[in-house]
Amino acid sequence: MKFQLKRLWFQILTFFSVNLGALGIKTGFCVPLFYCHACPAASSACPLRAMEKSVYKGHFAFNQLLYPILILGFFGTITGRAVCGWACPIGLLQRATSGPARKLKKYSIVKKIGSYKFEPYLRYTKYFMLIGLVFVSAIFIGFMFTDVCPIGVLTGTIPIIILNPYKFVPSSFFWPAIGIFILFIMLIFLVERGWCRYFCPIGAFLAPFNKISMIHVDVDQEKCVHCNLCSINCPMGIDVPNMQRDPECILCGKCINVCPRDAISYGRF
Amino acid sequence: MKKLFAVQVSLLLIISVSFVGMVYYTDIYDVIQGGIVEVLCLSCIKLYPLTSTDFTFETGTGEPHPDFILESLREGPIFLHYSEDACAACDVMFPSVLKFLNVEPKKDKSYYKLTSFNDKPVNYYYIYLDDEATSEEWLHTFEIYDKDHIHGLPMFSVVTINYAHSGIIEPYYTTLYGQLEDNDEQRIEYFGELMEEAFVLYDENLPGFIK
Repeated sequence: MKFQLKRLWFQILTFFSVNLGALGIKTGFCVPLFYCHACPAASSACPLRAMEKSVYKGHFAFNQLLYPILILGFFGTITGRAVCGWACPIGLLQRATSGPARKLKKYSIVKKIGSYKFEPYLRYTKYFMLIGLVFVSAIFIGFMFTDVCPIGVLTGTIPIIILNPYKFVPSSFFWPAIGIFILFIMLIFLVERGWCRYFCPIGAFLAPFNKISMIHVDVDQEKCVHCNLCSINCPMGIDVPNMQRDPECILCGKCINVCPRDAISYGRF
Repeated sequence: MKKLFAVQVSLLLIISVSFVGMVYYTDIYDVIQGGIVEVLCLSCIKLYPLTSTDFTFETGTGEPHPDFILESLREGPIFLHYSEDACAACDVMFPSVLKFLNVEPKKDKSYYKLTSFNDKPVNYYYIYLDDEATSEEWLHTFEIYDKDHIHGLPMFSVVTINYAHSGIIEPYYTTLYGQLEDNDEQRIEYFGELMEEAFVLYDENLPGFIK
């Protein structure tokens, strides 16, 4: 329990760190997580925007593409997707909605949403979002992801409207983006970590790093009795006893905490 | 196990060295800071600034108008057009401004031309923020004429002259932001009305300004 409290403190600390722009600290780094630089308090850039900008309409800026990739790659190589579970402010938001999402699971219709046969395939959507919406559309059409990004609505649009009530008017993308934002809110209340599981392009970028990351979650098959307590508690819906450096694992450590046989632990290297 | 460890360490070394090298030897840090973090991304917030065409004497930073602006005002009113790399709304507005003032800048190069509108002279400055050749003095006007402190692109400023409360004729400007109107014709009409207003003030106050 103490361990999860530490994780919460770390998430809160990161939330304040990415909002140091409120104190006038605006850096030239990209955050290795999902947070919009359009937020009035944001201190660094969204890596997806830098990637989109680097390939915008076929105009290729190699350094702008490589820069966020190196930042994400650095964290990915060390911790895999731990950034999602330990640092991302949207992860913190989904941590807050995971309680209601678990309670709603007792309704059969909600339970079905997260347990359909095609659910594992739905997880590939985030890779499509990364390649299709962030890169391909930016090359051939223009900015599509940032135009409708629900995180932009949450951290950029809403605070700006509140802080400057009569200074802005909706653009043509405003209402479609609001529609997507409402779906995003519904999703995170219906499916625990629904955004991380299915749609987050940053999660898609970091996921393959789980296969080689220095820190990962290990299951000792000799100790494991397959009680499945770990899987039941896993916010990402992973079959924990059978996982081998699963790309979906966000290293939150909930499985480690609930395992009655201490069969699960963080592995290094 | 050893193989994986070697992969991890090699990858981390390559990434770290490349990252430090990029930050140290290239201008990427400034590009991200100036081009993404410090400029309000209008497409990210899905909003456009509520543009008011009201003219004002007070600059966005409180600084005096730059010398090249004062110099250009001797020829006629000024139209400042700001743009940057990878800005969807800038791309939409660019051809409209070209048609409006009959100018032909390259999209990624800052440019100046003494052009005309309705047979009256207009100083057209196209200031492309990502063009390294753009002078600091030109770039700084992006702050000076950011009337509503939006710090977003595209941005257009019209500078003319008017009689100030101080009793002297001073530069008088307005600034518009974002994608305006629905099509080229509407935008040209919109800018045209603004320029007409600028010409009226300019003609009324020119004798006092030159003196």
